[in-house]
Amino acid sequence: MSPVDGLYRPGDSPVHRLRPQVKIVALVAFTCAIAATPREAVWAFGAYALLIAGLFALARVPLGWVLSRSLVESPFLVLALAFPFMVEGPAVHLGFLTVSEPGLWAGWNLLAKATLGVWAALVLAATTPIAGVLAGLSRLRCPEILLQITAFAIRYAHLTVAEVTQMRLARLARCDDPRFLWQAGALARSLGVVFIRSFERGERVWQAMAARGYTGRLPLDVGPAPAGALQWSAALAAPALAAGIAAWAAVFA
Amino acid sequence: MSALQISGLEHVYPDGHRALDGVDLEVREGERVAILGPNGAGKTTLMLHLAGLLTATAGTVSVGEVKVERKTLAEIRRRVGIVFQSPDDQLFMPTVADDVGFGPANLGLRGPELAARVAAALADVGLSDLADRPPHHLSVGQQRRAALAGVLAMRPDIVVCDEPSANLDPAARRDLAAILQATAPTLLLVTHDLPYALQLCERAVILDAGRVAADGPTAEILADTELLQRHRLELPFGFSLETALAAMRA
Repeated sequence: MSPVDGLYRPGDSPVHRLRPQVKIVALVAFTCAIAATPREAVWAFGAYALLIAGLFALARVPLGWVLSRSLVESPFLVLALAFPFMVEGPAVHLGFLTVSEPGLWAGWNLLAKATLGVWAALVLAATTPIAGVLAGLSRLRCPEILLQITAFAIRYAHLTVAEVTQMRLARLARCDDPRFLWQAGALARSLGVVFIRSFERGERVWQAMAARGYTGRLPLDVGPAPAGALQWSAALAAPALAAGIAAWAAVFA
Repeated sequence: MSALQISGLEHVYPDGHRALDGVDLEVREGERVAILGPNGAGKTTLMLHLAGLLTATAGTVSVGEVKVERKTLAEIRRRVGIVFQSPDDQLFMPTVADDVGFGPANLGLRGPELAARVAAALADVGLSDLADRPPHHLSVGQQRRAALAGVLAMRPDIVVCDEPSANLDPAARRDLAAILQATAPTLLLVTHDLPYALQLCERAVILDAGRVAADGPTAEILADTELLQRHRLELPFGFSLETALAAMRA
């Protein structure tokens, strides 16, 4: 899968059909609701997880894909596991372990909120192409300069990966040993070349864009159509439900 | 009426390499001209100057009555459509239709007007079915046609193609020739594929060491074996100019 496609999984589910801008707003609202939920309301986090699982099912995203993509939060996981041993406070006994109770809650808080946040973001990423996300942000009046930088970062990341892949294939074709650390030397030596080649290719890409009238502004707003009331209400259903749960948990906890 | 006027064009790269050394060339409206020359003759540099993508060391380029300079760049780039050699460098939007729409969108077209332009350009190159596919999933022949559609969508006065036949199989090569014949009113074909030049262009210019070394009817230039040899050009093995010309007359 090329970086241009990102995490997008082509499909035609109701979640896919929602306009990118409403999905972005829904994601932000949903994440805020999760963050605002008191950590003691364990049932609320269960409800959020069910809600997100429902969305994944609706978008036909397989569980294995979600789990492998969730690895991005592993640094937070390590921190969450460390909290019970690092934070001071009244101790509780779990089998042969003695851990701190506030630390346990802090770890749980981080673990639950980070995981749910990542999953919610994956719902957006799996059902919206990168260009759609950019177009949606443009529709939401995100500053032009940020969009341009993001669009070019993605474009050039793709070019660089393509260069590295080609050079690696060319090395393999000349009997390079691609195993583990052995290729590090060749890679290090070729990094400078990768930079120059990507730079020159970037220049050719720029020329091709300039030849078609590019003046520093990508026509990103070409794609996304405005979203109607139906789209907004459909997309905001999940965050509204989450906000309800959060409010309930905060008041009655 | 002259579609393109190049006079005394010189280009020296920052490393001192003199790629163009005083090029004079005039192309009339509706003319199809092949720019022939060995590798490193300055063909691509010349092409980049036509859209104002490089700044000339000396000399001028005019498209129609508009001179290439900083304040006319937008108009020049609408008038001159360049199809680059590598589709990978040119196609970058997520779908073929988005990419074809990139140029017209830069011209300020939006909504149904833009969609109509894109649809017409895709129909011209026979890619209407693939409008929603990502360009990097197409074959090289299709990619080159998509790149051409991206240029045609801007309704240029002159179409410039850099090595359009490179890496194409014979059928894709023939398809592209037919499309170029039907869609490009004034065509500049930058190539060292001599039979392709003969097929598409009635006039040929040999560029060597940054200068125009010969200019005349394509058939006459290709018949001059000595001239071709002097400029490191030659017809493919087994190619018969007489047979080709007879086939073209038929």
